[in-house]
Amino acid sequence: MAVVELREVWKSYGAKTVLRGLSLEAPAGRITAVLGPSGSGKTTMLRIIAGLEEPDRGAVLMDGRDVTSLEPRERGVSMVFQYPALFPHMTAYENIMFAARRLRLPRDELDARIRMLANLLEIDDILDKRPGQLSGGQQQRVALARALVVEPRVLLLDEPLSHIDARLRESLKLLIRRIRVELGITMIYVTHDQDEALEVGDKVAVLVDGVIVAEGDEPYTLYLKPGHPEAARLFLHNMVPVGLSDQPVWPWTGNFKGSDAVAGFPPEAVRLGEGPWEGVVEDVVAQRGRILVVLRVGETVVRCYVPHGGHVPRTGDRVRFGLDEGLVSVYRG
Amino acid sequence: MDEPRGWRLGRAERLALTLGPLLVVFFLAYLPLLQVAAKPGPSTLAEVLSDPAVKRVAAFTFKQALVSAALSVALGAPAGALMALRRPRGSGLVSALSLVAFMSPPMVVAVGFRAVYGRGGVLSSLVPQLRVLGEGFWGIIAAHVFYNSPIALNLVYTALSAVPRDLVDSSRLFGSRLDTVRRVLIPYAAPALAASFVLAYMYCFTSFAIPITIGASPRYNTLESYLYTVYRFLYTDPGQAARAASALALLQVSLLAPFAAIYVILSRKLPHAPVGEAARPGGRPGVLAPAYMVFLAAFYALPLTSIYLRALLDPYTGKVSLSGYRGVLGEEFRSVVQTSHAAVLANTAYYAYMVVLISLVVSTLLAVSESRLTEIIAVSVIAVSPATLGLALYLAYSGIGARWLLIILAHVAAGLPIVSRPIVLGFQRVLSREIVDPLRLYSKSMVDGFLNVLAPLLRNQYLVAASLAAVVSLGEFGATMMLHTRDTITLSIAVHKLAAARRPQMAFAEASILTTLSLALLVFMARWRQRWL
Repeated sequence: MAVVELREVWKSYGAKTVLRGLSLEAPAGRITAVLGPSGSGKTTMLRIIAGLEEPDRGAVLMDGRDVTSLEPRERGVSMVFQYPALFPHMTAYENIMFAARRLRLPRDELDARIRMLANLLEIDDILDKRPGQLSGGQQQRVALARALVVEPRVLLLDEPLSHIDARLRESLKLLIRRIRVELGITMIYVTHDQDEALEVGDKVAVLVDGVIVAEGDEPYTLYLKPGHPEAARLFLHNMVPVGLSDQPVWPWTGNFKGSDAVAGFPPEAVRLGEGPWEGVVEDVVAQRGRILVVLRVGETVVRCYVPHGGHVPRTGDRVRFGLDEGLVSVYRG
Repeated sequence: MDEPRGWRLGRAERLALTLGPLLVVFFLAYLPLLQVAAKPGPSTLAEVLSDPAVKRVAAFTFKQALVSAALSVALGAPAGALMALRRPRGSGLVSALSLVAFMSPPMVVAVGFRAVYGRGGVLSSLVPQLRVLGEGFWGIIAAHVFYNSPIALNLVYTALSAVPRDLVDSSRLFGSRLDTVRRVLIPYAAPALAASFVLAYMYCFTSFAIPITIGASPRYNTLESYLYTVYRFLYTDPGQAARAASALALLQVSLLAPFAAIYVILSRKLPHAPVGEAARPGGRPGVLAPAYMVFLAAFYALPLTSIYLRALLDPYTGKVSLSGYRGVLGEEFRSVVQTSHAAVLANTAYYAYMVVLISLVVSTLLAVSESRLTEIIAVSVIAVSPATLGLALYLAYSGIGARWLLIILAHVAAGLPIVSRPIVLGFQRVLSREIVDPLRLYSKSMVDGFLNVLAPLLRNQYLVAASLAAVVSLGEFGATMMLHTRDTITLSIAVHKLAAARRPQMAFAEASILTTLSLALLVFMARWRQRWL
């Protein structure tokens, strides 16, 4: 395992600048989840770490050593792509073995290693099948086995679960966590799904428009107080323009009157049923493990959750609510 | 996000990959062409261009090419559209026969048309009016349509097969059937229609074997066949012959170059969809469609099958006779062709073998370079007619002395636009991120990656390209006519010599051998199910 560090990395494709002085440190033996919207430069960042792309400026370091000019196969890095990227003319076993040969170990040792990984990833019974005969989830697990068999110092995961159905996604997320525990590999996991980033990452960084705008070693704390409006939007916080609002309902309105300030707070900051404010229920949505309530408060909309066992309002109900003001951030400009 | 794909290469490596294939094409076609350009001088050029005979030949060449190309598109394009959109019964057979027609050696087509529609032909003896298709102007046009309608058929078929089903579905959902045709199908088919017309025009413009065999009169000389006549027969002074022929070659290249440029532009707009993705707007094929399929199947199959019939039937008694084959294997062949049949077969096989090897290497260089300029230059060779190519190679490299080598190089150059296509398309498909990224991460070296991943994935494309190269070499006529000596005669040239010496049954027998070899290669190629036209 290795510490991966990106220092002031810039990358452009023609006139489009994708990475703008990006700096990030991924600690050894942990999963760093990088959350970002489409086009924010997540894949480019991973490809630069892997050596599949060259940065225009900046450096990639592994354990303090500059590897920017090394070829991909010389970096000790593995990557699981968004698409499984298996060779279509090889069986699952041959795909894994193709990568394993790089270790230059005796054939039976490589074979034992593949069988062990196949067991861990539950692909023992599909090793003789070609990619065309496998489901998306099976292909992605084979790709994961191929990435792990070379004993990488760093494993890069580029939205590996984006094309996989929800049920399988859950088990693969757990599997990736288990691999981190059992093999202790440094992983960088990029995704556009905030839940996935929070569930998988030991550390979470938010990438917007080619730069890291927020990061934290405690994902849930970062989620509650990201400290940057773009990060807050990605975490689906309530974003309330406070300076322009004439509504007297918000406690901070007076302080920011006439400015373009925005108040952001997570749905978890809203306490339904008690408090100084009132809203009208616009919608009630059943989500996995919780119920989302959409409230209209004056000109704005506030999303919040009904706590487990709490009273579920109906559409059209007027309900009172309060705010955990410690979780409210005001972003200016 | 569109990011560059492929290997991470240094500037020098990229330059080498681009310059390598450019140099090969330069030495193969453009350097020889420069020799042709330098040869005639202003006086010969002016003399040739003002010659009334040349003007007459040029006018005929233009006229027959225009009519042939228009009729080729008129016959082939509706068939392609019908097959893509309605799939009438027999589509597969017509498609296969059309490709056989397109790849048949020109001499075989010429002899085949005479076998069907010429004097004592299989059909013309039943319907004498059909003799018009076996001789003279309309005979030349009919043979050209046989040869070139498959281009329109296949390009239009591929273009319409690439129309996304979703596009047709939404067009039908929100508009009328006419809207679907106007706004979806015609925009998709238009580049294919234009490209097939231009390609057919160029092939007909440079036609050689067909006018000299079916036309069989100076009236029906094209610039290509006239170039050969001027070079070989009109002058006693070889230097003057070369100058006059070079002037004609220059005229021909300058008349073709604009069309080649248009084709290069159009060819980039052609889709390369695999068979079986056609978006079918629905409807039944009706009664006319099967009749059309039967007509096309007969039109494409008859000339080739008639060659076998005429080779096996005695022209006088009408009984089965092997005298044609006996003649081919005997002394009569040697007296007409001036070499043994074994030597002709050995030459043909050896040239084809060498052409396959060289073509695959050159095509790989073109494919790997991934440079648009390289691709354009390779396709632009299409503007150089076979006879011009033969003359140019002779002028540039006659010092080498090995005429067989010049013939091989001419075959490679003539086949390059077609042979390189499956390999270039294959590389474009295989060199995707899905393959290249894991290859760069997990292969032991670039060579390891090429041998274990790219080569197996491109095996079919290479087999198809090899077959195409062999078929082109087997059938190549124009350049070989210009370059051949007594020791370098090929099967195509032997068929011509036998037909010209009025040994019809021997010519049919020899043509049947050539047809069998070509067919065997085409059947082998069909196994790999790769589109190349």
